[in-house]
Amino acid sequence: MKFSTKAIHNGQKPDETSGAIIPPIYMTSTYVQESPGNTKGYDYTRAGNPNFTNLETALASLEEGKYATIFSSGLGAITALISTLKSGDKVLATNDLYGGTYRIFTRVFSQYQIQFETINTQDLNEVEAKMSEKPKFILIESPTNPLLNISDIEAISKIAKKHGVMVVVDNTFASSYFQNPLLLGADVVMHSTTKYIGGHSDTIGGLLVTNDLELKQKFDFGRMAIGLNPSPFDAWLTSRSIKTLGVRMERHAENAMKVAEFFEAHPKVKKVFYPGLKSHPNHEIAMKQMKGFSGIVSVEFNCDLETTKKLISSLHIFSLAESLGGVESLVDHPASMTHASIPKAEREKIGLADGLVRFSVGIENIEDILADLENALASV
Amino acid sequence: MNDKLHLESICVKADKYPNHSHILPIYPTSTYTFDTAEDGADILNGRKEGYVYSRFENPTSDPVCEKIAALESFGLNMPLKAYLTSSGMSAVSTVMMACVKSGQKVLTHYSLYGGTEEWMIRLMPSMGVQPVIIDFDDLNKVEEALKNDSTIALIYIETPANPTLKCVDIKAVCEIAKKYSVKVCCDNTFATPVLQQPFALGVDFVLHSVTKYLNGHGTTIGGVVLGKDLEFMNTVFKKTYRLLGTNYNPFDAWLVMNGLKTLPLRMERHCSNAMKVAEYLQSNNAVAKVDYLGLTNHPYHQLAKKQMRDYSGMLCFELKTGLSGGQKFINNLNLCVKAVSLGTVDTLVSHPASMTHTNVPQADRLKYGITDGLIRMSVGLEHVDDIIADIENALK
Repeated sequence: MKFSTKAIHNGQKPDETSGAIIPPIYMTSTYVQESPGNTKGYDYTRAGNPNFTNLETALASLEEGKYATIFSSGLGAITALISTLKSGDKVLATNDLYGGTYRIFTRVFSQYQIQFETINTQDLNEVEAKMSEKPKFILIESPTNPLLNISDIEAISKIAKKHGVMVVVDNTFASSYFQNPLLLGADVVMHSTTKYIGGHSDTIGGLLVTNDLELKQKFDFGRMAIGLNPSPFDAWLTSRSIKTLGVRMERHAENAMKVAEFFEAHPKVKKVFYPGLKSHPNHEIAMKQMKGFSGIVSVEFNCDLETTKKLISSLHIFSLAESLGGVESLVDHPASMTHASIPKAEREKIGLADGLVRFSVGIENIEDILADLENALASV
Repeated sequence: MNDKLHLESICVKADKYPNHSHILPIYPTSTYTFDTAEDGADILNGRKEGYVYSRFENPTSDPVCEKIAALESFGLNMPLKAYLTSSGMSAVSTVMMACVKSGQKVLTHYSLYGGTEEWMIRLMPSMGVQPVIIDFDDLNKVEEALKNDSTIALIYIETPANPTLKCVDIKAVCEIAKKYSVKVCCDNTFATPVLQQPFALGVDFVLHSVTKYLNGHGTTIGGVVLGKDLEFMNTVFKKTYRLLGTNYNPFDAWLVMNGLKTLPLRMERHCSNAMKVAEYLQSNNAVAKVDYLGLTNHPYHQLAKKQMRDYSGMLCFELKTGLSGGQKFINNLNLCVKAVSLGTVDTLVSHPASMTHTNVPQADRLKYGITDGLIRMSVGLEHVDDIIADIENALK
């Protein structure tokens, strides 16, 4: 079965008792036992729920994996992943990691002696050299947030496999539609389902997918023991949302490509970051491992801080907000918003210039999107 | 305003909501828009009030946090900060990870809820945090433990405990803890703030499985952590909560807000029904023993009387006929529901030896007080005559 068919039919069986085409929402904490100990596979929603199972069945198949576990948030998924480690264990990660993931290691799990080091995963020699430190896993983001750097998942997986190191890929930016890291040799795929998978900005959720039953059991155990379960209602919303994941991603990518080309030709733009552009330094690797380039475009304008702020405040279709991956276009200005607490010199060192803006291109009509951008650029 | 109101009134009183909506709106949103870049920067960097991202805060969840805080601090003139979590267990894990780091220890007592015990003895040790588990009946032992081990960073108590109904003297433990500057966290799930206010007795943190009495309708899994050290709650706790991703969700929070409206009424009836069921069971020949805090012969009755307003809806009893008798009894029930969990409007009954603890060897089970004929009952709000008739019929 192809992606869009699986997205509509896997884990979406009509309700057997009523025939309702859409499975009901099981807003229940507990389950009645026919006789003592005789359950129908569920005993308590913190451990499992029919809405969780439905979504997990669908998401595992979309990610080309066998087993999925869903969580209260993307970081809840990371917490469950870290709970498989013990004090003294080491983790390697991409150096321009999502800030929340970076901070959960450096501010929370550092207190429990979980060793953590970020490296340039675009440099395979550096990856190979670090393997001697025997990390328990290497965590890759590709594309990264907000600079859209691409790491070669297949090549890294080959190196890691040689050294018996597990590979975890945060696949949030690409979504399961455009990239399937398990097929490239990764061991675990992680998502913030808040973003493209949920796609409607109406839930917070997380996901881990693997082909390894023992790992799946550890993730389930972590969810139950730490209490990282989502709500059945949010699971149900996400099951609804993935039916359009394929068509949404196609339009996100198509619109984003046009936005990227528009910016590349604009005199007020210094640099465009989009893996779909030939000018992207790792465009070839992106071509090899992604079926499409997703909907995030970052742009460095030839503008100072104040002008950039004015520019994004003049947008009407793009809402100024955190998060990304929803049907509606969103814009984020790292220098004044997410990364404002970092001094300017430090910010620039990691590539976050004052004029850098991240666009999460939505599925509105492209002419309206381009007109909005044109308008805002004309105002500064 | 809340200062002048009684508990029942605080529970039902609605805040002012957008569009004059009488009932709290549900905000199923992951993110929030900013008017200008400056606005976004100010809100993100804490210079201005505002919502950023629903893993942090949400306008449906926040009034629920404030409501639970108002109940736990009722009459105390003590501002509290509350955070709703994805489950009772994530309330436990988040508060412990905010308070304890590797090399430090948690002091706690026997007969904790199974999930909490698993967290203490299986998960925390792999992160370098050891539990010190002792009998809290002897307060000298508590003092001795603190005196001899300066690495103890937190005291964790659950009272009444699940399912044994053992109680801990909250005030006495807090007085000892204070001498050694150790914080105390109390699981108040069984009592609820209607029946017991641990903050009045000196604790630093209270947590609940919201799944149970607070929501009361069996429609959600959730938890809450409350703290009186606002500085700590707004810095270290907030950071830990946001990064672990143990957030709740707006739909379930909305359900809890509705659940809270009837909390005092429900607790009254849970208590009066449980008392009548306990008295009935005591008079039945098939029953060897009844454990209910409200019965004057219960070993913890005096302590419960001292620190609780009533005795809640949980009781246990022991059938003379053992394992097979327990199974038979459960299977013969028609009204009472065979399910784990507790604190719902309907009566839930479980037989630990054949349901929740089947994998535990009999010798280990007995150590926890789980005998073959032990029945645990969460007495619901059905008419008490119907509950008793169902039990009577099943005992025949």
